[in-house]
Amino acid sequence: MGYDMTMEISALNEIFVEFYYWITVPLMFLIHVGFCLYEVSISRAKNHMHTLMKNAMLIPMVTITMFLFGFWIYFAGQGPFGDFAGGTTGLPWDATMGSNFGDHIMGVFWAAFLLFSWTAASIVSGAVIERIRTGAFLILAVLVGSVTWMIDAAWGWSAGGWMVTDWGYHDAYASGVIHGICGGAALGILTVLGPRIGKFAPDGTPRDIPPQNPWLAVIGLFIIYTGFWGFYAACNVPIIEFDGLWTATTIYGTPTTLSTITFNFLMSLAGGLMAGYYMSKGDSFWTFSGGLGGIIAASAGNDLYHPLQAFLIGIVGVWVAYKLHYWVERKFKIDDAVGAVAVHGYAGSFGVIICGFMLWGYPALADGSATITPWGQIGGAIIMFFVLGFIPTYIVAKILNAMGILRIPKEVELAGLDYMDNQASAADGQKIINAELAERNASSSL
Amino acid sequence: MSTGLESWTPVKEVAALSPFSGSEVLLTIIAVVLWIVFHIWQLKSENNAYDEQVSKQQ
Repeated sequence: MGYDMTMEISALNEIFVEFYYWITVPLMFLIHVGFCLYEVSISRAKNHMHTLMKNAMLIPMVTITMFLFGFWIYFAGQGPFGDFAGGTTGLPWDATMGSNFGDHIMGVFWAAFLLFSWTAASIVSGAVIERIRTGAFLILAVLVGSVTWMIDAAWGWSAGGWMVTDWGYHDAYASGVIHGICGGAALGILTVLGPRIGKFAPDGTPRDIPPQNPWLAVIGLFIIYTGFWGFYAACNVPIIEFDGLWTATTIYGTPTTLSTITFNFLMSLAGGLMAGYYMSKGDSFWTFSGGLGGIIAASAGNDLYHPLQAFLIGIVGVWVAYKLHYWVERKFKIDDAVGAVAVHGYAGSFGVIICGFMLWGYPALADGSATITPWGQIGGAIIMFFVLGFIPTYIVAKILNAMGILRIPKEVELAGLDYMDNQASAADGQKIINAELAERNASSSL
Repeated sequence: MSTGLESWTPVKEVAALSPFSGSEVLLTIIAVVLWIVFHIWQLKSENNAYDEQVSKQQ
């Protein structure tokens, strides 16, 4: 009997790909750990636990909605007005969306997209800390994590998406499809939510509200960098035959190499760190945020850039983000507590646009049927930041605000979101001290 | 009596692994209800907590 080596290699390849994506999931989990650490450290002590719980509870809410309809949107929405191209793929009752021997990989793909969804909602979470209601935030988290980002992924982060096939939109590691849209979404909410009490002086001059724990915030950013490796890995098909060559490809099916993205990830990080350090004169928060911003700025084209191009784009992207952050803060009185709109929104949108000039004329799809252009990328950046980012959250935030459930009461903001819990803990602590004193007195009287 | 599988062989004929196969739509409806109810509960409970805090501080 003949030995079918082709089948064995094919099976090994399939198992390798399944395992590869599976490993990206716990790596990306670290992004959320980092975001929680970062966000809590930026908040003041009186708001710590509520800040943590607000971010933590987006996990179940985005997860269940990604299972119920989010993933279906990705498959269904790859036409401009949702022509339901994917049929039932991704619906909760579809055979692939469960434990079924007919499909071994869908759950892992779903998890990879889900972890992006958590990141999307978490980016928004940091900007609005210390004054948004958790209930309102969770509604907005579902909107961004399971609806709008999934629409933009269907449109611009798939070989079948209309922005790719018609405009040649290219965004290999999600400068726009994650960071641009989330920065825009955060800005939409902030515009309605307003600043924290005391952020602006009566004459409109912005005041710095320093992080409660600056070094821990930086550790959080370090952990986000680590998780970002998983994010980059999950954006690739690790090994596939392309025109007779075995190579990695982007989500668009266009070839790249793991070497390229490793060079460029680190070089854009280095550029961003240098720019953040220089611009802020050594401030730790902006230096580490700059590192993240550098990667985000170069991500759209990090599948193809030269490492030194990624380095320079990281520098310029962070310069743009830093300048825009303070200009918007002064001009429009926007209180972005963690700089999320800048690091994700401005750096990401810059990254999408610069990619159009750097990769002008490159094929956007493997068959060469679409071409990368500056106008395709500029149009894409506008769709990501404004159309799918800013506008939906602005409208929903307006509705929540009109219902009186967007912002916490002024008294609560002044006393702190943890006030009641802290009071209860203090009362319990006092009861224990009283009980111990009573026990000691009883012992000494014997 | 079995809620799903009675044998692992022939494994190539095994499809759904979970018990009560065919109940997915019902499970989806239950999950949708729980999801919506959780949002409502969160908004109400948060509202009550803030009202209590504001009244205690006054």
